[in-house]
Amino acid sequence: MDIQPVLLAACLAAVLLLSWLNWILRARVVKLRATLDSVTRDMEHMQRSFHRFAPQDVVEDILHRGVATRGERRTVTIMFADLVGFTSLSEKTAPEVVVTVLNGYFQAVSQAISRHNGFVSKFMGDGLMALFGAPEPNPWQAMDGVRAALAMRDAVAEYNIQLRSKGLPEIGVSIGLHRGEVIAGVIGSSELVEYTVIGDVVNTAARIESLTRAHGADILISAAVRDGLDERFELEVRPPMAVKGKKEPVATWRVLSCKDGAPAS
Amino acid sequence: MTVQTVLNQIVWSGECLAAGPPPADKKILAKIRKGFGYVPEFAGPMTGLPWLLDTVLLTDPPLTYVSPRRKDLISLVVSQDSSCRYCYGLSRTLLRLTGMPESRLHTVETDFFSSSLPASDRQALDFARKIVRANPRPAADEFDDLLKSGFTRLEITEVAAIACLHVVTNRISTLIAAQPAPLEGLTDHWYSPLLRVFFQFFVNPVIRRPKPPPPSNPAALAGPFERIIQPLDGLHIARVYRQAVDSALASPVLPRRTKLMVWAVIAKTLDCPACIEEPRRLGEDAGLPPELLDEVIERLGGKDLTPMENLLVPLARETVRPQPDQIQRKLAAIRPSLSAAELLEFVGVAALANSISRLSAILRMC
Repeated sequence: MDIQPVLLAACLAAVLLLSWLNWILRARVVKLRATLDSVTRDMEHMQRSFHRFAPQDVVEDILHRGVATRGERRTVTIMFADLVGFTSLSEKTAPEVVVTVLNGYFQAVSQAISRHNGFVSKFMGDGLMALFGAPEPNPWQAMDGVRAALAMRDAVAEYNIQLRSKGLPEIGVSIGLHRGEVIAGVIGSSELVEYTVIGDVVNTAARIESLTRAHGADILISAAVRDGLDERFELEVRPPMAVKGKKEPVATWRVLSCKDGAPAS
Repeated sequence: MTVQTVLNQIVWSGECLAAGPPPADKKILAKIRKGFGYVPEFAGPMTGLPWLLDTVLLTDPPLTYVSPRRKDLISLVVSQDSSCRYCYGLSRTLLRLTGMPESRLHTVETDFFSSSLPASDRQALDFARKIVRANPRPAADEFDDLLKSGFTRLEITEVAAIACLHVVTNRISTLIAAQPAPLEGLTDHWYSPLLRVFFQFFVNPVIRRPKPPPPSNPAALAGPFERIIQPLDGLHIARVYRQAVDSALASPVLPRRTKLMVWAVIAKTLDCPACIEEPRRLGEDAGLPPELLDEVIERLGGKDLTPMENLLVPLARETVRPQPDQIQRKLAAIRPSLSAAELLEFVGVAALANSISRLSAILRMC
């Protein structure tokens, strides 16, 4: 039997098999590369997005070590804002409408905050905490914080026009601002982290916000914030009041308006 | 595809705020072509401000200690970090043309710490990025770490000066929304391998190679902001800074006092006391008394400011860490209130102030 044609056929078959395998593998590599590219793009997008919410060095720290190890002391102006009228809204309105109203409110006030160089650190139910002076330093943080508060007042007034037209109850906002040194960093577990600030200044800011009801004011600021303002800001002094966790009564000022912008409500 | 995706992640205005017809003067046109490699849409309007055009054209100055490859890497990292679509695209193109494979380039972009770059390159890039971010500004011990790693003082200074010079181009391109350069397509042509050979074996090693250090001449660097510029003595890049600052302050388009206000606000945002002192010193002769300057930097405004100053002073702080699309929208909004030359001069001065205020971190090393 002539072995040559058999060998030739076997070689040809082997070449065809190898080509087919090569083609399959190449197709798989292309697919894997596309998947890898897509994952890399997503990761880059996330990294880029996260850079807006925490200092870039902190983001890199997390990427390299898995956790953020850096914390730093910073002087920050802290804003606490609460939605006024939420209880009655949630009692009288269907849950899906409550969620829609709440989201519309957060959208409006968050824009006012970021327009004035603020950073919304967290949403807490119907409230929020915003920072001025973190993640990026800001020498005009007190002015920015108060301007943001005035812009939030306007934004809520505008939002109420929409709510009225839909036959929904109107809402209000109460805002407290305090300034001082805090520890800033990315805090949380490996599953859930956030860039935030901690310290007594944070608690005091929250207490000042709670004083708005007692003082019948929508925007209240501490002495530390008032010191960072000039005569363009129209303020009204309020009597010092005791707050939980503080030995001394806390002096506050009601913000009426700013001459280069928002008028009193 | 990935390249375009990376670049397109930067939200960027589709219209250049300083676009105009190309210059008629053939000499200027040739100068622009030589510097940029093409005639950008902003070149025409920029010819009305020779100082700005010269500054932009001088941002690839002779190198003294830093290699062309390291300089290009600094340009890439700084542009990427500043989200400057225009400069980032150009830096990528240049690195690809000078022989860096796409995969390696991508690793540097994603995370240069874990890339295969030499350790000294990674250190230089990390330092350049810290200088430019300025949040916080590099501390004295970070300079010490570089010295201990074998960098000389002048090498460190040159890395900082190159990074900060890119701040100038990044800011100008971002603020005016310069449209992506057609040169970006150079890596996709059939002849790009030939270009690579040309760049890799001729342009980088012959034309762009570091030149011998210039003779020391601190007196030639005297003038406004000399405290920050004189430490660059012994580097070719020093004269670029000296020339840019002098010509920016001498330009008659915006009043000198307006420029000093813009400068001081940017210096204050970047927490650079040395850069606030200089506008205070120079302001006396420019109709900017210290009390007014203090008022401007405390309030971002003032009773005695002109309408134009009231417009530009608050905007100056926004140029320090801008989100490209937001700052471009803000510039577009004020454009009708200014002449094209005034807008460009504001952009140029703000870019230079951002650069010098960041560069002042080198004073911590001295």
